[in-house]
Amino acid sequence: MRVLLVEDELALAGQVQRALENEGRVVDVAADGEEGSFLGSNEPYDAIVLDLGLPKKDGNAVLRDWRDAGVKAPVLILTARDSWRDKVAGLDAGADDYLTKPFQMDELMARLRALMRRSTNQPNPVFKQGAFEFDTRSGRVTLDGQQVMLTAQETNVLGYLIAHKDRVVSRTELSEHVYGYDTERDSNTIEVFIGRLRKKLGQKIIVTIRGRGYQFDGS
Amino acid sequence: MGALSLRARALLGGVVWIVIALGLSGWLLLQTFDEIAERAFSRNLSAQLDQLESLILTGAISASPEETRLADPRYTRPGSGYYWQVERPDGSVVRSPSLGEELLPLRAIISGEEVLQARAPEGFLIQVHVRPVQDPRNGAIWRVYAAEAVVRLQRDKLEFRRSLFGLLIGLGGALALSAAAMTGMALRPLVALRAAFAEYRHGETERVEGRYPPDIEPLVADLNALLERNARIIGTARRQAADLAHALKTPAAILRNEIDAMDPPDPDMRDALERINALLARYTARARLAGANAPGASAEIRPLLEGLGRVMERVHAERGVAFELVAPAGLRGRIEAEDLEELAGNLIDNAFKWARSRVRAEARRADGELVLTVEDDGPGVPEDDRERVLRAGTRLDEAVPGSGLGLAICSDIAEAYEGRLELGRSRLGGLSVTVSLPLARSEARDRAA
Repeated sequence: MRVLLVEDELALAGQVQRALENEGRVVDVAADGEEGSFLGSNEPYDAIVLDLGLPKKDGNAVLRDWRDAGVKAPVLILTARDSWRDKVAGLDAGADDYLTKPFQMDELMARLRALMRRSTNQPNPVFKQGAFEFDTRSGRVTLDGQQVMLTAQETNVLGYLIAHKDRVVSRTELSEHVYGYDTERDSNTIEVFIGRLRKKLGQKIIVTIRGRGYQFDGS
Repeated sequence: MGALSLRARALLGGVVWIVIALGLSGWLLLQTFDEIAERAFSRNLSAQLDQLESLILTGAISASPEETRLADPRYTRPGSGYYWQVERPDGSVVRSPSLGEELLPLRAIISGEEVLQARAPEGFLIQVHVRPVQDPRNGAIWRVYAAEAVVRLQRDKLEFRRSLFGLLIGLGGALALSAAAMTGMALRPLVALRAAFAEYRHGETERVEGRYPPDIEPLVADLNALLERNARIIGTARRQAADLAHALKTPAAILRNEIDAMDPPDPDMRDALERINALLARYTARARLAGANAPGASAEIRPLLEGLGRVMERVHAERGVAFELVAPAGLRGRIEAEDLEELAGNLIDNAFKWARSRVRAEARRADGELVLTVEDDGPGVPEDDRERVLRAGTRLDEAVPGSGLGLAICSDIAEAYEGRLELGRSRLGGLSVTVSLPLARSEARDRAA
């Protein structure tokens, strides 16, 4: 799951980035409005955290650009502007949630998870299918009650496939959501991750559909 | 004179001038009339002397002294106060019947007509005119006398005085009344100005409206400039408060995250930071409330509540709470839109936090007030704790992390607009918060109409 963080305060951006990466997310950081606007419009993100008081372009304007451009990713506004007027303006510009600074990191993480679940129609934070369980909050995976240890990238691939389990996900799409903007992308490594997941969770967990991609199938 | 009203000053000035003018003209009129009355009095006596003189010259008196009469019948009646007498050259005297047996005081040597005061036989004061007349037949000298009671002259003067006095008082009264009316007319623009300023104070207009005479127009312009400057200063203060909050909250967020990331987090540092955060939140809320001091504001509640409803449904989407909103279109409160939004936002947000499944917000017009009720089906607040919940954080140094329910801020806002905030039990089962605020002036008028 890939997240865009638009925040001009680098220390805060670093903290949020670390917290997100601890949950296995891939994070791109934009330090001003223009960069944020560009990345958000051109990269497929699963969620966006947006500050409002940004250099070069105000957060609300960035948000309107994205929505005009058809960006569907859920957006959480994270700002020091705490008046209800600002909140109404932010949500009316197309945001999905609003959190004011100073905030608790746990709450930010919980709200982002909830946003991503809602945007992919997963009402329950814990995904269960047969003996298989995936906790979207912690990325913890259990099989027959036994915890299975996964790397961050493996968790990411698995999480994305589960979030979109009702359709086939192409290798390119998967790599776009598993790698950050600045990372060298190699779709072959996706195959490596799929292989490792199958090894840890059973061959049947992910189905390969020739020429199109992969689909989660926990049955 | 310092504290005297303009109306009193104008009236006092008018009355003083009226009194002086009327007094002066009254005095002049009296002088003139007295002189005219005295002259007429003397002329009358001289005319009687003329008659007597012609009687002497025609020899009528010599022929039949007993039959001598003057045209005026009053000279016949005894005690009438009108007398005449003729002193013949031989010293004998012919006199008016009114004199009876008495004599007017005689004057021996006179060169022309003389006037003297004497006592009538009845004892009252009379004025006597004496004139020598030379008999054309023998050149002998006659003396003719005519007299009249002075009291008649005085009575005339008194009568005139009385009617003049009445006239002057009537005139003075009429002038004073018209001065009062003119003062009222002259001061009418000031009354209009006061009404216009009241409109501004009650939030109906953003400046003092209306056209005024050139005398006070500059004053009104100055007043409006001052009001605009005030509004600008408040606007700047609000922006600065927001800027300050923004500038401080981000570093506070960084600190908080660093402390939370410590293993284990330092409780003292965490407490200190929480205190800073609470102060920051409270200070920002107060600075924002500066709007209460800038009248000229009113806000329609329904669009604000609708906007807040959209926010709540997303921010609290996870809680699956149903929001019901009842508010008539066009209902306006005498409050800054942003303050009303803050007040309602905190109340509804709070209700969403505690509700199990329902939140209801209703705005209505009642008893000349805007009444907003926000209720939920949560646990509510026990009666004993309600007072404390509202008081929490009323003093900055008491601000406790997570204290109150944002209700203290709501209470502050309501208070700043002379409104009330009451806590109760909702029919839904949870807390019900009712805020009463003054209606916008136009609302109050519509209601009265």
